[in-house]
Amino acid sequence: MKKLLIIVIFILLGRMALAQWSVGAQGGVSFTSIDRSQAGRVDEAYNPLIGYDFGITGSYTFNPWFAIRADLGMMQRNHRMQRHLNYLSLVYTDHLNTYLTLPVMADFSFGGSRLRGHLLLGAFAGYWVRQRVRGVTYGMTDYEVFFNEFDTPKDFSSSDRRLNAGLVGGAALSYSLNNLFGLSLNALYYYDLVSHYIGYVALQDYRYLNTAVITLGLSYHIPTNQSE
Amino acid sequence: MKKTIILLALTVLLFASCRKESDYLPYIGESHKLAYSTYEEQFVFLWKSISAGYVFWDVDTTDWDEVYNHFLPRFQELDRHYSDSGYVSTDELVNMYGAVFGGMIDHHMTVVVQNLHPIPGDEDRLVVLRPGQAEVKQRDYYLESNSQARASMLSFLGGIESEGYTIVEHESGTFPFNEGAITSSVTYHYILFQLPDGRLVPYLWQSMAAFTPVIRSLGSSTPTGAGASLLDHWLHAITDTPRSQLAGIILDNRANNGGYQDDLDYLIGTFLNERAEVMQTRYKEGPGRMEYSQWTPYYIYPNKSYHRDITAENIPYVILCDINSASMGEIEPLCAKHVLPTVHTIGERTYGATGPLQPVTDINLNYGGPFGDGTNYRGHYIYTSTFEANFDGQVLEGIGYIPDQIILRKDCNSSYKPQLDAAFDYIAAY
Repeated sequence: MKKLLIIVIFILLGRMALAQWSVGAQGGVSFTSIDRSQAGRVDEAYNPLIGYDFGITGSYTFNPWFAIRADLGMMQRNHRMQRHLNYLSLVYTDHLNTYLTLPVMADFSFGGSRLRGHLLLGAFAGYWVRQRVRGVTYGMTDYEVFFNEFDTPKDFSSSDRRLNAGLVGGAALSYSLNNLFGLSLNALYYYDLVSHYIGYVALQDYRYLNTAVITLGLSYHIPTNQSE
Repeated sequence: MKKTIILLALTVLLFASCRKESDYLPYIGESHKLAYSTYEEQFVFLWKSISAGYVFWDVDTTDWDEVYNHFLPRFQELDRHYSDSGYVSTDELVNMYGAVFGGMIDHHMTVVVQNLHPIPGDEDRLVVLRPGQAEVKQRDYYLESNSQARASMLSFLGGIESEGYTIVEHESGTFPFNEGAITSSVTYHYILFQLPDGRLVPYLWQSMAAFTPVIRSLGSSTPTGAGASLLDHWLHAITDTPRSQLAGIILDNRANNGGYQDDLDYLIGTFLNERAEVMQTRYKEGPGRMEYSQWTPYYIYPNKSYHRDITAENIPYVILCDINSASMGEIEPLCAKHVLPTVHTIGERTYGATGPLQPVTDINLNYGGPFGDGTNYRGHYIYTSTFEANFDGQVLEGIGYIPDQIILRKDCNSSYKPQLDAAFDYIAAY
């Protein structure tokens, strides 16, 4: 058993010696929609909203076509609830949610030595850092409806599940500027498997976020003995 | 490489199917989905509707999940009882729903539930519960129901001429009015009192808050127009009497069980120079118990027809209220006190029904508010607040408004006179 373990460690170390670390930074935009199988009232529409996504990225290359990549980013996952009942059609609420997100993906690459395509597949975990709401509410007198604009931070409640996780996948194009630096264009899709809303004993209302992000990245390949 | 990618993609697809389907979400506008055939289904439907639509979950301490866990087996037992015997006693259902809804603080709430399988001969009897009213009856200063209190008040005002006051004018009457689908009537007493020093005090008692729908008929020769004329006389006595002759104003909301929000435009707006925020309201914006809209300010604007700056002229405005001042009957003194510095309130802690409502016909508005069959009471009808209101940051549902000067009717041989006398004393000494 011990011998087997030693052999495995040697194989891994051998691979690591051949491999290459790279780190970088990226930033871009996110588009988030929300899925609810029983979406509230009939006059509520849930629309995607744009947000930002920025952070750091790191990858570990095992061989010319395979790497493991992990990103750590602050991602906005924003969406809008819009009423469209005739006299309430001005009413909406934008949910502006900021998540600390950690995707870990298998990175399959192909192409030439400088310009390469990447297929990315993996999973992510996230933590809901803060939320803000803005929009228009309404009030009523006996004879008329009136409206009020708001834009304010929102406290978390017992209905908010702040840890989430899901699947992530997408594609990227990378271009090596030289031996050390490279640029990348990434398109990823985050698909939550954990509802960010906690329901009740007989009233479950699962709400899942879907986020598409497009980012531009700059990477730095850490030189190793083999690659120098 | 291909195999690895395919394997990973299949794993991803497998996980992607892990999203769960939600329960049916009660949306009170979808009446065709309200059908149920068992006591268990009826209870679960009501439980879900209240869970999603009740507007006081932030201040109501009822453990609604515990209610579900505790009562679901008991309603299932009722279904078994029905299978065995062919009926369920309405008394049993009254006890069960009494315990389910008994602790809720919404003092507008009325719960009407139809017994699906009553004892033969008992078919017309409904389960009718008013949790707020039950709470009010427990208060140590409770004397009589709203309708009894109104009758006592009418008796007192009917004999006011023999109570030792100097009365310059006295107009009264019961006036019908129509407002949309609502036909009702309101009783007013407008009395122009004279203090011993000769100064005047215009006084108005209103059996309900229907100032707006009535005064809109000003100038018409209808019975409603006569009511509007009475209100116009009270307002003109306030706005037209020279300061040296006007000692103060009295609005008597005792036994006033509520009505129209827009009345604030007259009872407060008449005295404003610029708009004033009198309260804030919010509504349910999702089925989660804490899923509220943001608070929306409710402003009163200066009235365009009547105006007197009682703040600048330092004219005391006394509002009387008591345990039977409910809904707008208590919101009026609350809001007036909040924005008019010369307001002084006298009487008892009020009823505690402060959440604005919209009629069941407006159920498309929100998750919350009245729902069910309010006409024939088939199945169920729940009358509950559409909005939650806060007054200077405080939600007073189930608590009510505590006036500046407390005088309990029960300490005055159940007489309405000492509270009114206190109003005159305050104005005379102002």
